[in-house]
Amino acid sequence: MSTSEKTIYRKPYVQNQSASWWLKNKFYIWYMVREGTAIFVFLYALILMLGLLRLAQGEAAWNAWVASLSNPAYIVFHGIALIAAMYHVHTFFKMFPKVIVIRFGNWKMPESYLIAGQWVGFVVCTAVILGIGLFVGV
Amino acid sequence: MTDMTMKVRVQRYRPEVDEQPWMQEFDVPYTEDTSVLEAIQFIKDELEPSLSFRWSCRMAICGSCGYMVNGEPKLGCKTFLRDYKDLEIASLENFPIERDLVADLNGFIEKLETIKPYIIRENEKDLDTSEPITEAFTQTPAQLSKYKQFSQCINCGLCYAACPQFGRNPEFLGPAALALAFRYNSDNRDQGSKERIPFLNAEEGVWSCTFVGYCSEVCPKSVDPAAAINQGKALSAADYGLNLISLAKKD
Amino acid sequence: MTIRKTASDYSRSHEPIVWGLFSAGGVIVAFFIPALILLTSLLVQVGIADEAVLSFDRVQSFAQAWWGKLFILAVIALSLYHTVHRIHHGLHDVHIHIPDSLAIIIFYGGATVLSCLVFVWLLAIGW
Repeated sequence: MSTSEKTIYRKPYVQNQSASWWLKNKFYIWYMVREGTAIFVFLYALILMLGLLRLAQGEAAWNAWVASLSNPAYIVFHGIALIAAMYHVHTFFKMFPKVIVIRFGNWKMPESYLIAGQWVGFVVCTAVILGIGLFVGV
Repeated sequence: MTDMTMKVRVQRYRPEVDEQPWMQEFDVPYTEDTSVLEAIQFIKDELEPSLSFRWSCRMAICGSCGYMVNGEPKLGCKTFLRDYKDLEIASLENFPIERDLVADLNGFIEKLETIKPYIIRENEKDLDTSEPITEAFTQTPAQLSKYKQFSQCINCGLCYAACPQFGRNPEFLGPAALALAFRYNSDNRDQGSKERIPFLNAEEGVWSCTFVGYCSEVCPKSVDPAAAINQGKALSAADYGLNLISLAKKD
Repeated sequence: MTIRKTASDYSRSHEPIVWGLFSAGGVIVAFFIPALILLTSLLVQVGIADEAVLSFDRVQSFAQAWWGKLFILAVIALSLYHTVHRIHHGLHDVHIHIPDSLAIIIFYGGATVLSCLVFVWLLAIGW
């Protein structure tokens, strides 16, 4: 019998990922928090849509919707949504310089410059939105 | 002088007798400069000769001694007992366990080989070493800086142990292979981007990555594979767009 | 004996389309959503800003202006595409498996339907 009859003693133990993999490590937990912020922003987008619908339906519908926003449940939700959105801002601004690299010859713009630049833009946009929203034509 | 001793639990797995991995505990004396690698070498020399593990240079350049230390991917030679109260050492996560702390890295090596990790020239004569060299490929410091960081990879596999997307899907090319592909695509001496872009463009290429970023966190050489992959996403998206345009043009 | 894969073993993913929308949406959410949450749902409600900020006439004239419509559509639509993409991949991460074809319809189809609704309602608000 010339066929090879070697016994193979290898038996690699395959480790499959468990569904709770992300609970094992602080880094993973914060990653899931980051991804989880999307749920709150999604719900807020739906709330904006509802407001838009009420706006289209006329003054009475709009006023009723605005009044409903004073419901404590809504205020708690929006407080959490604001925190979630700010965590998105923080993580997104850190990720962006990894994707867009600005280079002049040998010099690479430090990531901290890009992060700081984005925060400046954030402050400007927030000031414009709140400035127009709170003061123009009120 | 008081002798410090640490409880060290080490993952054991002997394929010829074990069905499952199990933990074996040892008391290991240590000083303020004892590394994890030295600890398991002590165990093998003095307490349990059958313990198997990879190691070589002892100085974080060969990439051999990657293990999970208290649930985090680390190089054994670069991790020190003084930073821990107790120790649990296991073989690298997401890879099959060959024996004890030895992970089966065949899949990892194959992925590195798949993405064509070498300079590709359009004119093959450029690389023909049987002919005398008539000109050198020049590269300025600026051109080097575009890919240098991504060339520092020591193939230790820690990034694959860190990556949950690889953990879920072993077909994912993974951080090191994709960073290596990006390294060659970014090298001005290389003309092989067209040959490597299909690997980036695939679902198993950059598009399995969700930018967890843990790969870059654990990399002992600061390669930042997460940056390479996500820059690769921009490249791949541009290629997708160009492809659509040329498809439209053909009609 | 390695069975090494070649380029022909891999097929092009269509993920770039949704990734582009996801990235654009991420920028919109980052720069605009916090201020909008404050403006629509917190400053007035906790008493820092006057009720008149959210008066019907004021908001309606904003939504009637072409730039107002553009802003509202861009913010809602891109926020939707960004968040459904993240939620879709988040489900993978917690091992909840939805077949790809179904996922495309629910998430990206859903975001498209909702964006179309926004478009229609903006038209209904008129000029």
